[in-house]
Amino acid sequence: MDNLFDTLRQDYVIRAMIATLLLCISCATMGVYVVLRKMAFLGDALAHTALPGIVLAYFLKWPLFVGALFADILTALGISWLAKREKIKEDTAVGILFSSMFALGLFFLSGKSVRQDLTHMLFGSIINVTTKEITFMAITTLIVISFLTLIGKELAVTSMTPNYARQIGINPDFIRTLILLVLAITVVSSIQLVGVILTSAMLITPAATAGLFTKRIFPMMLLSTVFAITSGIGGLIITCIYNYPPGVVMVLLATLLFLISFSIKSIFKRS
Amino acid sequence: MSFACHYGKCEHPNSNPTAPILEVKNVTVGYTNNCEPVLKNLSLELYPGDNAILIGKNGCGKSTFFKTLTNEIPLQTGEVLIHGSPRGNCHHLLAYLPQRSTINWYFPMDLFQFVLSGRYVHLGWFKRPQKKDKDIAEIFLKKMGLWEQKDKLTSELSGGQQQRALLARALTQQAEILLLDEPLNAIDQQTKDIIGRVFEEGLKAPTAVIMATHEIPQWKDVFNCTLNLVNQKLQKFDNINEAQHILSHGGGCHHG
Repeated sequence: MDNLFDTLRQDYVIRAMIATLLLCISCATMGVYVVLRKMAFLGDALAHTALPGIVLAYFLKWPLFVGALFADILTALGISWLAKREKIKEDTAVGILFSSMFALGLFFLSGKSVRQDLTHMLFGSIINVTTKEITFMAITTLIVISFLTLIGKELAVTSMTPNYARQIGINPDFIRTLILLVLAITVVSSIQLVGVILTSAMLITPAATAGLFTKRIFPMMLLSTVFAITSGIGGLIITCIYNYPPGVVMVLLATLLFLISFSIKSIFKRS
Repeated sequence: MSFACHYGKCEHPNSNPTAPILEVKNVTVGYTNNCEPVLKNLSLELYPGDNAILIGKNGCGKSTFFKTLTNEIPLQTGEVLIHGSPRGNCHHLLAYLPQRSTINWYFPMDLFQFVLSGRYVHLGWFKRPQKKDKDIAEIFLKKMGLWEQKDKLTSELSGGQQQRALLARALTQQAEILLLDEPLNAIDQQTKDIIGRVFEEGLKAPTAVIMATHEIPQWKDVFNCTLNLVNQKLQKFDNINEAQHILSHGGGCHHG
């Protein structure tokens, strides 16, 4: 036990904790809107399309998250643009875009000796987080919180009655594009934590768990943050003891919380 | 599609007090350019105090007509003027009550916030509702008999309560033109009575109302003209008996 406390006091663990806290706050609050607006598939897509950007950034010797951010913002704007054309259904467009971008990323990777270096982008590597990355995560959290508070009433109106919003002069497509952009930034942060493949879990699972207990937005965001931080920090501590990949443990913990909550909810409903 | 974005900026620079409150000039609209338009060269003038019942068979274009006035679909020809200036500048003067089925009632919003959103057009970006806005929302929630339900989520309300919530939101906007798309459709007697009482007590003057409906309500004296949407055109009659006559003969929309 003393050994564990010594480990937890180490500099790199404290940095990892700060990063995890920041990411959990932004993913959990943004996740509430992702769940309420049924954008789960989009969150997953944004995570996968980051891969070619990451690989490209690796070759150009840029920070990897810059590449990921670039690829995701491009995807977010691309989805908004495609959604306005009426010939293709949106989920079809997203499906095509996200699998092809992921394939492109894997194509860049194949046959190169970089695979080992980039594994941590696939599964997350919060332990090796740099000061630059922590700064980016802090900025992300700030953007998410200010977005949700400043645009709160427009977000609610466009989600509930897009036609009414348009009639009073709020363009719902503009709000949607804003959501996608903020979501893109959040997803790139989350990639640091749990990697490209598991990112959508950090967005969706805590918010979905919170949704089992309350239907109101603000309590849902608070509860979602509590669930996210529990699985995030919990995952980090387990990683320190057993040396599992942190992202995998965090996602499994979040899922466990969901299953427990779901069972409790079902039992209460029955009685 | 054009999105005049004047959210929160309430001004109508060339406002003309003698101009009609609502003027539709030679408007043609349709959903695709190749198909036959839904409304063709349609014109209408409404002055303060004109309270109209809009009739016409289902599929006639009543909702399209409302969407034309609210800027939801682009005009192929013509223009819509409010107090003599383009509607984009003064959309806050026009409140629209959409059909209940077009709203995602399951999005988590409580009733008070829902009705308060009628004030958003006056607030614009970043501004939060003030006490004055909340007071107005309270007045109309009480008038609609919904004050006790104000903390409930909109998904927990009955159909009739949702309909009253929609009317409360439209009235909370304190607009000069009220467009009501079938507010009397599939609602309970209590809701019909409450809506009737609110209309009989009088709306904020000077106001013009257009209410689409398939039935003439008991409180028909509130209305003084009939709009009949037929063959892509509007016929205007300066009495309410015409509406009664047309509806009782099953008429309204005669597609050739």
